Amino acid sequence: MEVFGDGHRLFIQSMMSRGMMNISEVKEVISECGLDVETEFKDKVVKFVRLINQHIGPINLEIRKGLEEENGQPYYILANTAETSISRLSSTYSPNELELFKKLIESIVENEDGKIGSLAAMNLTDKLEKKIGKEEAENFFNRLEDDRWIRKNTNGKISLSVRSIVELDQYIKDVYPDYVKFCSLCTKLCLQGRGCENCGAKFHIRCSNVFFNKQGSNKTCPEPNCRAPWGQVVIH
Amino acid sequence: MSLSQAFSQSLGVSQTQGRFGVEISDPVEKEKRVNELVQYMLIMDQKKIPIKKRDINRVILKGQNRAFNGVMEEAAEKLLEVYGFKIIELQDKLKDSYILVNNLELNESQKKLINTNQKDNAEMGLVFVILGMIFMNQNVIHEDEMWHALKKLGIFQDDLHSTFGNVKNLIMKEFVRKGYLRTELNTSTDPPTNDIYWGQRAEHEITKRNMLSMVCDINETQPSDWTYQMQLVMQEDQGSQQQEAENSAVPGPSSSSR
Repeated sequence: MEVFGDGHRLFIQSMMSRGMMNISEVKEVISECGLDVETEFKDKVVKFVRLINQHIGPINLEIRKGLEEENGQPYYILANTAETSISRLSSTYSPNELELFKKLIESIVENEDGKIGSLAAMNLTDKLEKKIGKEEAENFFNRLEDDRWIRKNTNGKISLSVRSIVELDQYIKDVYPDYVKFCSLCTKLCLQGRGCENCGAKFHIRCSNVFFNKQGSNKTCPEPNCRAPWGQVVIH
Repeated sequence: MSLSQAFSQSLGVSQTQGRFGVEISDPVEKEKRVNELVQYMLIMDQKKIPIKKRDINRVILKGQNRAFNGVMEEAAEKLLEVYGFKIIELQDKLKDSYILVNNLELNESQKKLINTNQKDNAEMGLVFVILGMIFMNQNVIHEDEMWHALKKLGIFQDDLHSTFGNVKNLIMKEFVRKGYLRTELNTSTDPPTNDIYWGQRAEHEITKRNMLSMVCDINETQPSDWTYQMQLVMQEDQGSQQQEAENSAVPGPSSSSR
């Protein structure tokens, strides 16, 4: 039986300062926390995180695992699980910055490919009631990227990171019910993915890759009611 | 870390119960307040600004001020047991405010796991430099002496700094507000200037022993070369031994946790 100790406390503190970690970061932190990570790592992480979640649950925190949409990489995220009047204070952003972030989320969710260009993002400042200067907005987007809420790809396109998707899952579903799509394979929220031109269903890149790999050479739409030939899209 | 809540708030999906809730004698209700206080302290501590008793009464206890001690005691225990933070009640001018101090004894590589924000790290570096100056100057430094010394590091009181921005405001206002520094107006000079001391947060977060060994590493001296400072280190060691003896005499949450 694993006993809750200083290693778990250090992991919680590290998680609170980072917000999210990839697997190699988790490995690094857990080994600094005094756990041997060379053997049965996966099993140990699951137990370690489960014990922590039992302790942080009462203050509505939970460490959750999620996949980055763009590359399918797994991450551990510290997420809030409930709404209380005090938790809004936790945000390190000003109310007006949050308004801008909401506009950013809106346009990302409404865009079929789940991302928007940096210029379009900058122009969102015009939609705010209380104006934010362009330079200030650019600094804010950089902070969002540093805090790992958004990602910028090599073309400067902005998308929501796995941290946002795990943390804002319910928010996005509640506010944009007409726009959100769910991956037909894993049933989770899907912003960036590929769609079927026949039935319009959407799939995460990773989920569909796994599906197509099993299918072999005659690829069809993964949606059971569709199964239209899948040819147009190049599979990486 | 709670963007969804912040958003839901502005959507009006906020909590409706609480204000007219049950008395705190109800254990469930008390537990709820304790958890809210733990969460509140962790959130507020991120900004490093001491947390006021008045704000806790207003935000968490919603006017049930008499419940403060009971709720605070249990929250302190949880913060220590689960999160590894000690609640410190500040004194003197900062009375009725609280800070969290890390109770885990961390080595350098472990410290890096919890300090990941570059801007905060740079500011902490500057705090350390100033605290070092104060300590080596026998616990107090005049403001103009400090600025003179900081010039060598390319920090000028009236210039915007590439990393720190308005550095005068950062040192004289922010660091003081966060409890790293304490200033006192010295009226014996003309015009009056500020004397700068270690703040209460610094006293709790940083040991004199670590500070002396860090300064000695930088200027390649031996701690024993600094008689006055070594004396303070010894006093500090004795003080913490005494503290430990007292703690072990009275078994409580703080001694059982480690």
